Amino acid sequence: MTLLKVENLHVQFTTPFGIVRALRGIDFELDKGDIMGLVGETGCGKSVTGRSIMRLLDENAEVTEGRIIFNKTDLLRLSEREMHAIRGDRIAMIFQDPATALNPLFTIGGQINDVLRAHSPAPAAQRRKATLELLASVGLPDPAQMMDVYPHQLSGGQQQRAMIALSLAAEPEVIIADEPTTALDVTIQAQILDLLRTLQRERAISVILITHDLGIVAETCQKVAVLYAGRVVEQGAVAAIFAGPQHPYSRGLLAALPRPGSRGTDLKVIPGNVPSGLERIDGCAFAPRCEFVMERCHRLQPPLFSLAAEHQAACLLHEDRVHG
Amino acid sequence: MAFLSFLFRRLGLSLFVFVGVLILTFIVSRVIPSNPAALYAGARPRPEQVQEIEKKLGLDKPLSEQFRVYVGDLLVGNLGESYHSRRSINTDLRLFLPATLELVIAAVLIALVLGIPTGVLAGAYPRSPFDYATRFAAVAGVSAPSFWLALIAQFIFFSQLGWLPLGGRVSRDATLFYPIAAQTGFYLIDAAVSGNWKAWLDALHHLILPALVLSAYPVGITIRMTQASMLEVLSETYITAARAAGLSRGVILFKLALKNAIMPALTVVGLSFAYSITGAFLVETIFSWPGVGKYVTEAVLNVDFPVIIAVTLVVTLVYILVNLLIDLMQALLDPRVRLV
Amino acid sequence: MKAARIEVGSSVWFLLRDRAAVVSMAFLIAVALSAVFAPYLTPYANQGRGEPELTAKFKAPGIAHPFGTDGLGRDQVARLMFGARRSLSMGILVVLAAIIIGAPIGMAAGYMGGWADEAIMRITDVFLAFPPLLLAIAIAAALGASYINAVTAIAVTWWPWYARLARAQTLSVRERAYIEAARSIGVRDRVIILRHILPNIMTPIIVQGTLDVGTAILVAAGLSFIGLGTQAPFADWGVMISDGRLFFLSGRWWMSTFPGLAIFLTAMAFNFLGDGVRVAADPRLRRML
Repeated sequence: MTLLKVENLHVQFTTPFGIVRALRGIDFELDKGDIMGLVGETGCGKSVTGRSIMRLLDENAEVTEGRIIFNKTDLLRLSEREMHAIRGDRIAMIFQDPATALNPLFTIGGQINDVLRAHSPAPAAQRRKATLELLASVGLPDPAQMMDVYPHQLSGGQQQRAMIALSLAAEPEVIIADEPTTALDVTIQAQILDLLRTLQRERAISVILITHDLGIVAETCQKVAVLYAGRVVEQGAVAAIFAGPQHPYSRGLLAALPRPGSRGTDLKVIPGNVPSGLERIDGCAFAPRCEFVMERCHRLQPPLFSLAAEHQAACLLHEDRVHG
Repeated sequence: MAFLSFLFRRLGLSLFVFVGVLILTFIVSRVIPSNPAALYAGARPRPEQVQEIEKKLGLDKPLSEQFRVYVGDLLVGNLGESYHSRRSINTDLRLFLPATLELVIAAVLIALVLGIPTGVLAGAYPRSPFDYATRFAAVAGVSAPSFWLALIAQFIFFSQLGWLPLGGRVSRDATLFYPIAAQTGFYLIDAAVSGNWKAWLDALHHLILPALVLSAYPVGITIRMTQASMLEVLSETYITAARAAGLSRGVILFKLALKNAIMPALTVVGLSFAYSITGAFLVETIFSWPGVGKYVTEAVLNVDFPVIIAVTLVVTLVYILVNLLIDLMQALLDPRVRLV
Repeated sequence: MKAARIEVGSSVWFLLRDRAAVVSMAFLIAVALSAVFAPYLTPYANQGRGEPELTAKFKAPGIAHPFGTDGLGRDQVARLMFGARRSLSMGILVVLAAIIIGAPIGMAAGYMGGWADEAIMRITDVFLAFPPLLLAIAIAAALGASYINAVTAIAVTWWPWYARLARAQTLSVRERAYIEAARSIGVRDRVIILRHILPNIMTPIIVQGTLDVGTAILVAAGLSFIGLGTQAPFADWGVMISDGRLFFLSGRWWMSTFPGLAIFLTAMAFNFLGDGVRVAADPRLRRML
């Protein structure tokens, strides 16, 4: 069942250098109980997508087109007051660097307590109990002591667990995790991803996992959308896409992924640069870097073609394979 | 533990700086002037006076020896005497320093009470009419010469409206009929302690105008720094995280962001103090305020160099202590320094 | 290189869009021109230089003398224009001298690092431990009251700010790859400092300098006000306020009012201009404001 659906989302930023088109028509669906990966290089628009859903874009950003349907309502049409009721309560967010996402001057317990108080009228004693349970549920040792600890007294992994506890406080249905492990050591990364999977299973929470790391997607997600220059170029079930990527860009990304047994020389790097978003793009944004580029690619912007039940790719190579 | 080590480092630094200040004032008083003795002797000294002072200061001895005497005198708290009035500078300062500090502290308080909330609101609502108005007021505050502002203020509040007295610390009536028993030299404190409320009101009445004038510059920088620090804090990830968690704007602004913004804004207390002192040196004469500022301006007119150097030294020492206190307070407020 | 040009171009464009900065710039140019061409703009040039005109004492503002005359009958417009020469030049000279002393010291500290850096920074700590103006009063008194001694005294107390700024900038530039590369292939330190570091740290120093001229004018006026700056028969704006002070409340308000306004507006203009330049030169700030 579709819980959250992003349709044709366009976002642009006004900068001193001109208008930057960060999202140029993003489409994807998040099913209830899934972990969905949004993957792509820096600047492809994956974080902007996450912020757009929360409606927390910077002031110089503007959504020019599109819809974000959550439980049959378009989030983009809600008033700020209505959106405020959704943030934290129904959709929550986890950030890349927990050291900067937790307020350095307040205790962990105090910060979770603030969130609880914002969302329920429960008395203080009950909130304290709920905080302790939350801290325990994210695997922090000695929750009672954690209450009075400041962020800088925790390790990076513990900080991220605290951040997750904070995002869980109001029992949201969706968690948007923006590069939740990038700032952490490799061994800690695995633990945090493990925690996310456990929470998703046990609490039936749906997760949008924003990452640049295909390895994390393979381990953690059921579905994935590959972003390039503000558009989804390929999406579907993780198993299907990893077995047979159909867009030249996803193919390139997968080829650049180190695999067991591969030597350094086997890794391929896609030549060329990601477009900045300042220039006008008429056709496929990947065309200048694509090894299969055709003349039409520079003129026609390819839509997402359905290749199988749970597999779509936006590449003119697949135009003729589409039925109907 | 972290705090203790911070405390010792900070104390060490203050001590070092104070020694540096001693050396620098020594250089200013003995090395820079072409003839220190003539300078110490004041305007148009007689030759035998100059000789007497030369001997007294030990100017014939090497600089290192002079410095030892200079520091030795200061360590026993002897600031020397004015060659103009022949009075001990210690006695004078005991009289004048509290007057200036009372004025300066009042100005700093006005700056904080007015400046911090204004700066927070301006930072919280960037590009609003309030933000623009505030920024303009802040620039005006730091651009007006205090001695000119003092004249304008006297013109409006004394000449035109007649609301506030022209100058002085208390009125003649107060000195004659209900004199303040000097204890600390801070009239508001002394009058309050002795329950002399008539005099207290009178002193407050006299304090308002000069304190307001002195606070113009500090209010300006307090607004600017609080606003900038608020803007900076509001762009931090933890504020976005708080919004994403559904906290209300009120809680975010006045609980979370304010605490983060107030920490760097505390440095403005030190700056406000410094600029109020600077202001006091320029406007005390205009307000006939019997403080160190008036003392120094008169010393400048009378070429009374020992007074200038002594006041520089003592006021700087006070300023160093104020900065030390502020740093310690900041450290105590910040869990990252307080705890490890 | 191309990126750099876009950067400068967009900064200028941004500055010109800042109305307060543009108005300030126009005002400052007007003040500067009236100071430079003062002898040709007023019929009372000799009074501007201090010559008394005892037949016209204490004239209130009117058609002949828009800003009135002082106790020696001197036209206040002329006085103000000639005073601008001294007040403006004091502010600019103080900042220039402070940069010339402070920037090389700060660069040396940042570039050499180690104990030299530590020593220089502790020395700046000592200078900054004095409340502003206080040390300048002491130094000016030690040197003797005069225009140039006032400038020297303020500059000597001001350089540490630029030393710190230059040091911080040098530290951040020093770590850049091309500097490392230049050092590793044995380019001499002098060449690296002059060719690579100096151009890169000038922008923030110039921005700060613009902002500071207004403050320097205020401080200089303060020294003049208490008698440690410009000496009679010449006057700067601080001296003019001081001269008119005793008559201010007895009805002869004009003598102190106009020079005060001149300092006030000029300092404001430098502040707005400096703010504009600061924002225009820093893309990160542009987004925030």
